[in-house]
Amino acid sequence: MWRCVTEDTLMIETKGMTKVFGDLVAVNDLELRIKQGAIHGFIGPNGAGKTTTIKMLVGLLRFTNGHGLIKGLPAGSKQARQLIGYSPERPSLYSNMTAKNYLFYMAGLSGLKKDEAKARTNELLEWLELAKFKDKKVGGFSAGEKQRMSLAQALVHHPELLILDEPTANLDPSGRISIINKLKELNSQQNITIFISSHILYELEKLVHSVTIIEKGQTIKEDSVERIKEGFSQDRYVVKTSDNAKVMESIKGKPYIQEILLDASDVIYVTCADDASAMQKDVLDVVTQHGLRLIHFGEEAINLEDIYTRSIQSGREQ
Amino acid sequence: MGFYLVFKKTLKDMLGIKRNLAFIFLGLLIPFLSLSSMWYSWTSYDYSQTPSEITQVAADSYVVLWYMWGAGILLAITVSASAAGFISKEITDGTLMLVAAKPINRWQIIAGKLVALLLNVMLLLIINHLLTVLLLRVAVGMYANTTNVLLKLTPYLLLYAFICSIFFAAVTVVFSTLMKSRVKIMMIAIFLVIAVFFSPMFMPIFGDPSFKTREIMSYFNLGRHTRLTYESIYGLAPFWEMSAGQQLVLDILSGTPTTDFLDGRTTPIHPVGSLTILLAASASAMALSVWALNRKEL
Repeated sequence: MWRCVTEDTLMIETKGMTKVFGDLVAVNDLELRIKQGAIHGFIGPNGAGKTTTIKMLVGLLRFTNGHGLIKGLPAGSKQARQLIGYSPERPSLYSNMTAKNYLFYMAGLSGLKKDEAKARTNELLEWLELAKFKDKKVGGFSAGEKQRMSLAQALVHHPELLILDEPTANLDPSGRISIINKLKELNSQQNITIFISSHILYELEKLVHSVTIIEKGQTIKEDSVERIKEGFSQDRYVVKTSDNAKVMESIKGKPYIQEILLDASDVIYVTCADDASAMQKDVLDVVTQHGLRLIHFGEEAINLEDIYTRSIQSGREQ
Repeated sequence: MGFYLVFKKTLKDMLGIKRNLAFIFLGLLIPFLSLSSMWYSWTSYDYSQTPSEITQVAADSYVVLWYMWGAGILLAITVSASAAGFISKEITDGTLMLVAAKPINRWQIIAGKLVALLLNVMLLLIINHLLTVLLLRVAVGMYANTTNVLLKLTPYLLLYAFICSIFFAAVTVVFSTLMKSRVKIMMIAIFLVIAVFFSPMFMPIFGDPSFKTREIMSYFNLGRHTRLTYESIYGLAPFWEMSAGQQLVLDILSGTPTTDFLDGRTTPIHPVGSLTILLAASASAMALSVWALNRKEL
């Protein structure tokens, strides 16, 4: 088996990754570069090609064009699959098997020896708080329990890369928090690389180091969350006073203003062309002179949801 | 390891009491009822038959019944019904996706399931055969010598059943890999069973073909190949030989006379040739299944 050695150990690397179903181009020339040890979010609207990409990386779908490497090994090869733990959006487990037997079975399929598989099964059931259900048939599990079982089977062979497709979908808030915390723990304690697709962006933001935003099978943005945030929030300020119209009127024509707008929730967004200190001074002057109440003044705190919405919007405009 | 685990899981899934009892009951019912009624007629009336002649005709009848029912229609339908869902059900249920994502070769999935199925049906057939013979001996009073002959035929009958199981399982698994609908797969399997065991039904379609045409058709006649395979196997038994009359019954039932009715010439396929064709068809079907599953996008 050939192995491509890349610089700065990349866990996932794709070049020209393309998947076509008949007339539909589901994934179009997608480039991914995910470093080892990272938690990487993979986001995009429904039908953007997230699940198709994930399935191609796991080896469940073939590449129409391009290629992908998992730690230098061809995506889909048995050796690459040895490194991957995969949990799909809607996990289908063997409903007539008990939790313990199912995990033991999946451990065996992953190549673990009998004793090792037994120990790993018990360890994971305990860790994912499923031990009390170990003799219960998987068919009778709730959505949350099934999701945790799916995570357990993904982890059963100590993978170096965890690929998760919507792991918190259909879970209640406590179930989601529990899964997010477990993933953080896995990454920090075992240095497992996590590639995760999710629609619940405010939760994903707490977890990921970097993100790829895709639409129509193409990358719109890929970078660390911090850098993307910097790019979006540069010199953009949020101002809210007891009389926003007066503030707007006073500073509107100033030379440092690049863009100023009052949104529907009665908040002023100001983007400065250069140094924002002049704008800060002017706003404070207006407030003092007219005896206004300053409710909020600060740099815009941008979140993943904003980044996502704007990226998709600008992607569509282009 | 992957093969063994799939084998073990499939075998466990097949050990449902209802399914197995139904097979044993149906497998027992027809040969037992047929042979017991025949036994009474052979022994109750004065046919001037000696015990050895009765043993001969009883063994002949049992072998024909085994061909048509125990290792025939019942076996083919059971094997096909089980194999139909092997891959298609796992695809529609979504369970195959997680298995295929594991570092396992996909051929192990097919091989594990097929071997489990073969073991299961072979065990059921042994039980069926032994129970039938035992019941005939105890309940009907079949001669000890006749019982002995039927028991000594066991390995030959099972060997044929094994080959037949491989053939039907392998062919059904191909469709299970290629198609999603189990109903459609079962319809194809039933058509195959009809083509093998009721081939005389198809003969009128071809009118009155020439000897040459019949010769060519014989290569494609699955009923002929199973019948000749059977002959090549039971022909190995040194202690018993099927009577010419019963051979003719078997020929008519399978629609495949070993000699041509019309001009008495022997048709071209040697029994070992048919055995080879069946085994080659099974091997090709298995290879096709593995290829199709390896190419399958989940």
